[in-house]
Amino acid sequence: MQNILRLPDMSLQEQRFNMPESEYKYGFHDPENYVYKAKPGLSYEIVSEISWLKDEPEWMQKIRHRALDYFLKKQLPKWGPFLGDIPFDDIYYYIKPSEKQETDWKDVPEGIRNTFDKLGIPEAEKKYLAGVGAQYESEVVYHSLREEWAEQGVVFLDMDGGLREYPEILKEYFGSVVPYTDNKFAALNTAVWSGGSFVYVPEGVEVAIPLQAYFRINAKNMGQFERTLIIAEKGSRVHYIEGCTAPVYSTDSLHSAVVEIVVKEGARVTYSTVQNWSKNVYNLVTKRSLVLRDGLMEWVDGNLGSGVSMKYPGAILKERGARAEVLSVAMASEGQQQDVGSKVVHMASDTSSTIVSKSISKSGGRSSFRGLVKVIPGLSGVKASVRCDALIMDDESRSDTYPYLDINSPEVEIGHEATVTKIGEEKLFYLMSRGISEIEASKLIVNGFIEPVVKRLPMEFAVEMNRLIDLEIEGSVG
Amino acid sequence: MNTVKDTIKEQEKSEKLKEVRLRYLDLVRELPFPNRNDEDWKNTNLKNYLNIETALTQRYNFLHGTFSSLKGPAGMAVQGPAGRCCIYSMEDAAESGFLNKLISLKAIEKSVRYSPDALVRALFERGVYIKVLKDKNCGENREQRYGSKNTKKENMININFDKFKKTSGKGYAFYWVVVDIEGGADVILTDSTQNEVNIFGEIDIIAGNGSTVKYVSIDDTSSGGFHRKKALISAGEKSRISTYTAVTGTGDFRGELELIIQGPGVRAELKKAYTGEGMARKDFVTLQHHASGEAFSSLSVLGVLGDSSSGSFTGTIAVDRNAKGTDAYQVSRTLLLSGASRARAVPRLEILADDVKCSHGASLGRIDKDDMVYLMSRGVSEKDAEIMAAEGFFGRFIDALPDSDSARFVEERLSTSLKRICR
Repeated sequence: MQNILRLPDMSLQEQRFNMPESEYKYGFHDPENYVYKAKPGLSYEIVSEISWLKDEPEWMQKIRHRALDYFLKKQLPKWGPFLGDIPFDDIYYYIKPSEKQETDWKDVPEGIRNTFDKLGIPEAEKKYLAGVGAQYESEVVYHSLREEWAEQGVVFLDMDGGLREYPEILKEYFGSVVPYTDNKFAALNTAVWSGGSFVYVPEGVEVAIPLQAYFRINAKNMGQFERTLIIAEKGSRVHYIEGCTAPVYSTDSLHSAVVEIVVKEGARVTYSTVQNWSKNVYNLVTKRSLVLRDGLMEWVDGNLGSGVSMKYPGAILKERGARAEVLSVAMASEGQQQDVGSKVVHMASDTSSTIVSKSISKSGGRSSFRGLVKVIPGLSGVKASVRCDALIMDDESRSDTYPYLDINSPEVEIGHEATVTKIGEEKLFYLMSRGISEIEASKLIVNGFIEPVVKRLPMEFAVEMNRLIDLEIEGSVG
Repeated sequence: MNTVKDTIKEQEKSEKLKEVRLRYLDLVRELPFPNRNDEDWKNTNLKNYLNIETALTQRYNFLHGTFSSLKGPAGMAVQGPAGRCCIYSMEDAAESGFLNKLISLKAIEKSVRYSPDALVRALFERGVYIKVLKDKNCGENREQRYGSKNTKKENMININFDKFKKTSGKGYAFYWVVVDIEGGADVILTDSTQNEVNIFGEIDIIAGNGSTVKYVSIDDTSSGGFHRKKALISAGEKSRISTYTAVTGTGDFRGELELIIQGPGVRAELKKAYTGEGMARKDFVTLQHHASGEAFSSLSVLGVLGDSSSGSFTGTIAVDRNAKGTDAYQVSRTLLLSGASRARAVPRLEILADDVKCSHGASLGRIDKDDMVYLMSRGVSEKDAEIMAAEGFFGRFIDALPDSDSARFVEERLSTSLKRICR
């Protein structure tokens, strides 16, 4: 039955390529001037080469190879957006942009530094961040952590650095939350991962201001596969923010990250994303956290960019008292498919989860909420609520909701609600009768609609988010 | 394959019906068998209940042409107001051309997606085609022969299937019911089944423009049995549709309900209530397809699961691009009474139009502790309190039923089932 309304995916593809470049502010690109660029396509040689270039321990190389086997064996998912057009053979799986990682912006190669200047990263670091990682293509080119946190034992490194300096921790946790057998793209990431962040927060340390990682794709047909691992020890607290952009090309790039988070007893981790890839990027990401006793995991997820996004940040609530909160905003515009949602597995009694999703579809875009709440047998005191609201801005766009509730214990309270509406004529009329223009009125309504999620973002990000959404609406109304 | 083809050629007396059966028999081979990768078949593995090869080699008696006095087609009893309701055997319907006209309808044609869908139409043993007219003008002699004695209410049609019992050499039974309702007509339709074997049935309701249709379906499956019931309702302009489905028993059940809104002004309310006893697996799949705008549909599914039963609900609201002014609602509520029971709910929305109001809600959980404490503090035992609370849960569904006879019958079925679950 579900196929009746399937949109022709090819036309979406075409639409994407016909987007005027000027609409996307971050669409510029630098000349390619790399230290190393692997041949396009995926093979055992490429995987071995990446591992060799990084001088990795043998166990990591073995995992990479096993993951590659799995990737090649596994079929593309039959559900969700059409992925058959991803040019796996034309993608560059590894590009090394500079010789080494810097801790001072002055030392970063000028071209790359200019890019990050344009994106406003160094400035943001000065103002309100505890640490910054900046990844360009496959490698992290800049990394810093304020001294006060370093002194308390907080580790904020790129993943390769993490592997060099803390191999035991990596060996214990790498792939423990997202094994490569989880899905085809987790396998791909495990085979060719490079860059990403490694964060370790020791027991009781509260990192009061956020850490940020910024990911930038520059080259054509680039595949970025960063891998992030965050470990929050007992009673610690950390907020991690990631941002991402890419130039506009007429061929597709692939971004397939894996994020693993371990939230230990009583710890609290907030992971915020403002995803603003250009529309030629396939964003296929696996993000998951393992939450132990009384821990709290918060995902705040903003999806504005990319052509096709499939992202379901999840939490496995493994011990009593664990909690998860997922707040997500998605905006699908012309040629975009935002297939996002969340996955929460309750594996212990007295655990709770909240999922709030807001999506906006406009100019022929398609946004889908796909969620799973699963409660295993034999639990009590489990509470879960799922709320998803969708706003459709015009009659070319589409909105879908696919929440799965799989409940195997009786002592639970599970609630789910969803609504789909269009921008109310009455609301618009009300605002416009008070002298507000149609564009301004639409902006007000949309910003009011996503407000519950945006208010959870740090100030600067909330402002940025509102601004990005305003820009999108200006392009479509009037 | 030839054996069943020969049986059809040999036994089927009506040439026209023979053609229909053979056409669907060919489709059985062409169409795919549903597997669990299909979104709508995640919770039922049909392979456990149906083997196409066995179905094709089983012996069949296409008895539908034989009527026993006023009782109706073989294996089932159909009662309806004489004159306004014309009951045909499928054979007569085929000969008169109604059946061919029906299966050429787009909605009916499209509903055959999988080989078991075609199998039902190729091999049904019990079948009936009911025409409901607005005024008493079912005049032709031939038709009156089948118009049977009056039911209590003037607009009521009852279809009672004889129990599908285990008989030697037969694993499967197939039935097909068509109710064709003339524009402006007003009808209450009830059907009830009981089965021990694996049965596969289809009921198609074509509601004409401006008609009012109330459909009550009461099904009970014994353990070891399986019932797949596919209901298709095509709602014409300004029609009023209400359905009430009650499903009980220790056997497995899969109910599919597809509502297609064909014109503006339709109001449809679909209600379901079910219990899960023993090892029963109950699986409900619904589709509210708004092909036309300015219409309202609502669906509610209430389930009480005990023992180690499982219940699942996959409901879709699909709104076509031109269906502006759609108002659709869907709610699923499930009570889990035992630790081993399990429930799944997947309420989906697929919206292509912008001027719509769609929402859904789902809740799963156990009986409210406060309710239990209240009842128990008044001297009601825990078991009885549980039964009372669960009965209360179904209360609204029973109150909504369109006639007192079926309300009594459904209430009794549900409360007997609840007593078995709680004891």
